[in-house]
Amino acid sequence: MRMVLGIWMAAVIGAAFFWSPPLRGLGEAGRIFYFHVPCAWVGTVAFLCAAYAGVRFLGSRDLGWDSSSAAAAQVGFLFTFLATVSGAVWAQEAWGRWWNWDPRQTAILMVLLIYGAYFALRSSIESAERRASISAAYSIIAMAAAIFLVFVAPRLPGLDTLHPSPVLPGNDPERGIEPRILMVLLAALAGFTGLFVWMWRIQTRVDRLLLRREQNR
Amino acid sequence: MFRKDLRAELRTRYAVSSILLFALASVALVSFALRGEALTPRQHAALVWVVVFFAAATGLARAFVQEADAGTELLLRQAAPPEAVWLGKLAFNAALLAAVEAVVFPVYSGLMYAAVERPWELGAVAALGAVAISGCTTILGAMVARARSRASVFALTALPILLPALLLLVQASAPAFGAGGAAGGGREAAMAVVSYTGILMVLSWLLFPAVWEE
Repeated sequence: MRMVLGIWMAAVIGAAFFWSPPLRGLGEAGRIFYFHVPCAWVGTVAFLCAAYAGVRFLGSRDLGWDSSSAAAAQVGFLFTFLATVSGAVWAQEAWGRWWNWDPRQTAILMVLLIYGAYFALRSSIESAERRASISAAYSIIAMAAAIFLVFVAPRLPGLDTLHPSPVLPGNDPERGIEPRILMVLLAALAGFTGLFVWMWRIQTRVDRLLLRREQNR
Repeated sequence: MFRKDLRAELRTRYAVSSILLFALASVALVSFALRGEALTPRQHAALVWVVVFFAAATGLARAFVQEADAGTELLLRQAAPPEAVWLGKLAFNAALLAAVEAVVFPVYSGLMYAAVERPWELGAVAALGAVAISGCTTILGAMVARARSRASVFALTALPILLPALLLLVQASAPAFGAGGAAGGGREAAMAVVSYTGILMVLSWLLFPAVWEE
């Protein structure tokens, strides 16, 4: 899996810089879009995975699922952070300011806070079983809040967003999306999703080992 | 459950007085810092909800924390089904917060010279806010009752979960301070608060037994 992923991501990076035409209206700097959008996507998927693993834990009481849930949240936090940073870089380039309090920027910051709170809650509970059931419940509630922040809040009336909607640039109503842009974006989304799954599995194994060490102590 | 908490609270008046004092102190601080500067309706709405949020963050965890401290959790688990415990605590928190708001809102508008154009509308949004804030945070109180450094963890976990509701409450209450067309959409925002709180309350209802039981 590692080999395939490495080659795939290398190809995506190459295609994003050399094969894809520049994005209309966004110029060369717009290529960050191929990394920003997949990071935000993976961040969202990761939090769904964390909540899913939380549900599985509550159903089975198997602590392995708790490790899996925590690992997904950790990896998701990293990708959400990368999406925030790449978004800020892009905002500086396109709008002249690192941070604009655009509803989407605010939303992603809140999502980071939610998961920061999740880690704080986890670290404040000592018993593994208790920690697992409380974190599972919090991850499910947090997911509902995150979904609301990411998908509903930016679309509320009275909140103007600078983000394009739909989010694909170069989306010309007459000619449709430039096929090469779409191909690179989809390849990047697939690549980042694969990267997430790979990192999630490693982190789950690490967390399970840590849990075992904690139990043996 | 609700009556038990109410009776315990009336005996000591600890929670209501601590939340109220905190809220009044922050209102006084805000009004002293701004010294009667003219604020827009939206700014008034934002300030008053920030005060209510922090007051809630200091006191709402107490409903469960006091059970943990007094060692009565086990008894409560035997005496009542988890759903009843959650509902009772929720009703108590909402009543507590509504009582605090009933003092804070008039004091705020008096000290800050905030003319409330439609008091009944503000009252309705405040009542909605009391239910929304306690609806979103009651389960968090049960979670942090098991944790170390509860107060800070409660504030930390409650803020991001409550934030969507608070943003909407600000938007919903701004027209009552006399915004007119500029900050319209109060009704839509109130509906959004109802739906967000509804989703979180259903989730809390389903998840509470897992948090509460050993």
